[in-house]
Amino acid sequence: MESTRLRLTFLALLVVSLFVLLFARLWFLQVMAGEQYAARAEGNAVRTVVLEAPRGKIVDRAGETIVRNRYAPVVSVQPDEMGEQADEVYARLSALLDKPVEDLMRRADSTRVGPFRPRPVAIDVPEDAIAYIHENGSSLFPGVYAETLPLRDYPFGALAAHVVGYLGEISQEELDSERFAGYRPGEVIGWSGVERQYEEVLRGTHGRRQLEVDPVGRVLRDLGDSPPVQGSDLVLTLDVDAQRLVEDALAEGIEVARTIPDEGEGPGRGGTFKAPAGAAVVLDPSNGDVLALASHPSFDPALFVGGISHSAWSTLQDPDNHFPLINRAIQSSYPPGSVYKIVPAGAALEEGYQSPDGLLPCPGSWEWAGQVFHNWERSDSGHMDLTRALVHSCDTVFYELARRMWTDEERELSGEDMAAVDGELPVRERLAEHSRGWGLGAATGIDLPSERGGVVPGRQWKRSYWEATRDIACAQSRQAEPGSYRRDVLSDICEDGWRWRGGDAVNMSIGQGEMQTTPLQIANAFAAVANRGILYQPRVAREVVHRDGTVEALEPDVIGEVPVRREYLDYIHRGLVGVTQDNGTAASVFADFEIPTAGKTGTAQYKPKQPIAWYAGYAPADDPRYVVVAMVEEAGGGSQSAAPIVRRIFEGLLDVDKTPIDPGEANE
Amino acid sequence: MTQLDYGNDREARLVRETVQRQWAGPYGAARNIDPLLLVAVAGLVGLGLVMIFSATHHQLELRGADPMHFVTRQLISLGIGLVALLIVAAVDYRLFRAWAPVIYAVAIIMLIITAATGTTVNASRAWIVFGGFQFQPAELAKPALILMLAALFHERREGALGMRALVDAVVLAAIPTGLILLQPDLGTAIVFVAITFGVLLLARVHVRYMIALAVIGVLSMLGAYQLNILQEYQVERLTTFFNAADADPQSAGYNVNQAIIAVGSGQFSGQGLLQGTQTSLGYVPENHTDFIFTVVGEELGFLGAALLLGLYALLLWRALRVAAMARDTLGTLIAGGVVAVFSFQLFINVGMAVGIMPVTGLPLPFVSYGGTSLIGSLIMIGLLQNVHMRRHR
Repeated sequence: MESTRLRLTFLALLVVSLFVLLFARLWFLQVMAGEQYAARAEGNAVRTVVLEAPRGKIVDRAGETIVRNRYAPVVSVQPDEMGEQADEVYARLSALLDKPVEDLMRRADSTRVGPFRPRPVAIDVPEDAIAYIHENGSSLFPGVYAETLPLRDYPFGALAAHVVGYLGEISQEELDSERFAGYRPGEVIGWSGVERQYEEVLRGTHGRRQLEVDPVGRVLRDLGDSPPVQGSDLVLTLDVDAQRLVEDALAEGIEVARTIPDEGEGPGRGGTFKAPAGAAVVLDPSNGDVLALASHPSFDPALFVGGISHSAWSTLQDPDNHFPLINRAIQSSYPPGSVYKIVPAGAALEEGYQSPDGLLPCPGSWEWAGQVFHNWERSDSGHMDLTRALVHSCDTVFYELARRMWTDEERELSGEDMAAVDGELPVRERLAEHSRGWGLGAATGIDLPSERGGVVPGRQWKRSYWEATRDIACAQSRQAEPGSYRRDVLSDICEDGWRWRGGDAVNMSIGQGEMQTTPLQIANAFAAVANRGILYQPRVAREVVHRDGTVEALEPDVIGEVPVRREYLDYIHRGLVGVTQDNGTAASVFADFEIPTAGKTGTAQYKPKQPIAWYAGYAPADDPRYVVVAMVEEAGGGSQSAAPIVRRIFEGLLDVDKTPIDPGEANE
Repeated sequence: MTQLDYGNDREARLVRETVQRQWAGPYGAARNIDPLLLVAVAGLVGLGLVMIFSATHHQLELRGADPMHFVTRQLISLGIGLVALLIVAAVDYRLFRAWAPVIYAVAIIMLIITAATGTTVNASRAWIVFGGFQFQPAELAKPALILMLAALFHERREGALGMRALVDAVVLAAIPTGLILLQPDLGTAIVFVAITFGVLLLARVHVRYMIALAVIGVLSMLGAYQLNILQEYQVERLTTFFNAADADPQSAGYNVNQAIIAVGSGQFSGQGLLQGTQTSLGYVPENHTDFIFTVVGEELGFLGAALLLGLYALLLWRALRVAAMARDTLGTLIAGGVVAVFSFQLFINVGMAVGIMPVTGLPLPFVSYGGTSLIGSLIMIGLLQNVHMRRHR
């Protein structure tokens, strides 16, 4: 029997090993990996239907509603789910909604929403049609969704479109980003403006209804829901009346500019001014609040509601329409021309290159190292102080100041090989430093997305620009005809293009050359003159009103103080007042204005296009409440095209009788 | 031990037994039943009834049917099974030795009838209807084959077990196995192979014969596969198991996937009785029969699964003990065959619910819903008690 014993033991061991195997597997499945399977079991059985939360309202500083929501019955289609019945489904929808099949299919094809969302084909559908679709959904209308959705509604139409922005479906990159953690594919988010900047504030909390379903998708039980909570409301610094005033003035001023004959000579000149686009900003100099911000051409944010159609999108993207989605007040930068002169004036005073009552010659032309630079006024205007240099916008005065500063800088640099300098410059670049001190060359930090910082050029900037582009210049110089002027210039750039020459400094001193600023930066710099030194961070939103009624104030931020002492700012201020009086460059526009104002014209050459017209001013001159900047592309002189817009805006803001927008005299 | 001595002295043994019977009376042996074995069975059946309720009540309620429908039917089968257990235990198993060929023949005839006229469920013809009852003859053929093989080797217990005994055993096993393959019911057929293996092992058939048999068995399986004897769904199930990564979660691998999710989601202490969503919402098909273990795993967790396996361990320990203590080779072989059935079905059934065995469609004895399986299992417990009760000389 020993053999039987042995074999029984063997059988027993076999059984024991089976138990060991099963226990090991169960331990792994249930204890080690159990959580993961529990999650999968829940994913199996629980379907979550997201209840979209309406976004918060956007109101102006007085509480006027600029953006709100309305609940609209919307019919959407998901073509993938229609299967082979698509044609019949579209035919039935067409009969029900009384819209041609082609319209529906085109909207389904062309609406720019991602693959995860049904595409809206009809908005504001009659209730009975919605009910009919609900009743016959599965049989007659597979892939058709009829639901009531909160949609953005714009009581003022396109007003302040660039500030409020528009909505669109979240992209894959955004889904992957940290900012949008917790968002689901297909969600609609702010794409621009405060809709994007304050996305988290406005978004609200989505509700969810959880349903228990069986393997064929039948709903067995409602596991309860959490209602959606609307997002918080946003109170802007904007004033709808001022905004409308500014938008109208800008549009009208641009129309007027297009009638002005261009008397300039050279390529791209002649005819009337094209004036395709422009921007205008109104700031409160006491705190940086943006009271109005307009960019022309504009767009209607309602186009984006429910997904923008392809045709509307391509219209917005057509170069012939000058890209209306761009907010030119902050997203484009331009050479500022003479409005920049407040910076070199301050720098000359503060750095000791000029005393307040010192005089400088203002000849018609000015020569340096064999190169001749002209004034707009070709005749000699005699000697003048800096105040009058601002009043008359005398370029040659600023050339002379730039030359002195550049010469000192080069002397300080002597012996240093610029090409070998890494990191911090061994020299103070006076003008560049002052420019940055006035907030130029860096984004202001306004609470709007995609703001440009512009360019403050200098030795380092020139060198890195040269390094990035020298290969192109060198290649082009080799191709140019030997001995030609073009070849000389190009080979000079190729060899020596890193050098910050006197000519660069001279150009920079009148806001030309590589200098680039946004209209908002200019407005902010003039606000610092108006308030005598404080550079605020401009802002468009002042308060968040939470759903429980609590108000969260957004405090204004200060960027810093401009590097010019108060007495010199007073001095500059007197110059800016002079601009609007007697024989100042803007006198033709403002001489008869009953309230004293201050300002500066700018005419930035932007060859081969027509000049960019600028005007930056503030009013009332002695107690500034408003800083206004207007900029019109390809519109000639600042006094011609921009100053009249600013006058109209002052009239509206200060409640002065409105006068027609007339072109001013060309004088710089 | 001394059993062998008895075997050598047949006359004396018969006399002795007659005396003993007269002395103890026909029911004297009942005092020697194994209570722990009954505890294990009671635990498993009880657990099974609760799990069947949990697996079926929700769907029954949805259909407006009696939520106790399956539980009630299982209770009826339990009653029948207990009566059968009592009868099987009461009659001295040595009488079965003489009747084994008859019992075996009846089982074979029923299997032939099944193959010829049976009712088709899940693409296999495993059921016959008899007097208003539906049952699966294959479940009853299990104890019949155990008895037949045990009787055969008991007769040949002396001397070397030559080729002849082996061939006889293989032929006797092959007939019901083949008939069940015709249904076709691959899983149950393999159980018959396991029974044969268990009996041959304990009958001290030489190891090299058993290895040779195993090789032939594997080769014939491959042959069956090649000759397309297996039904398509069986092939699909098996290949799904071996290529789990390629399987479409919505088709052949679906059952296994959902079963694993169910078991895993129970975690350590379970989702709670009647709280398993995989179970109650019908994500695991057949979860009151072949996949009942998923209900245990989901709702009672690792603790519940351990309880079930513990009860089985108790049952198998007692069954092995019966085999070891049996008074004769017949008893040892009967107990060994029963151990083979239960341990094999346990491993295959739980193994498929946790994804380490292919889906073959075997019930979990005592726990799965299914009358014939429960009755057949209880009959085998009756056989164990029978052998145990009469272990003394």
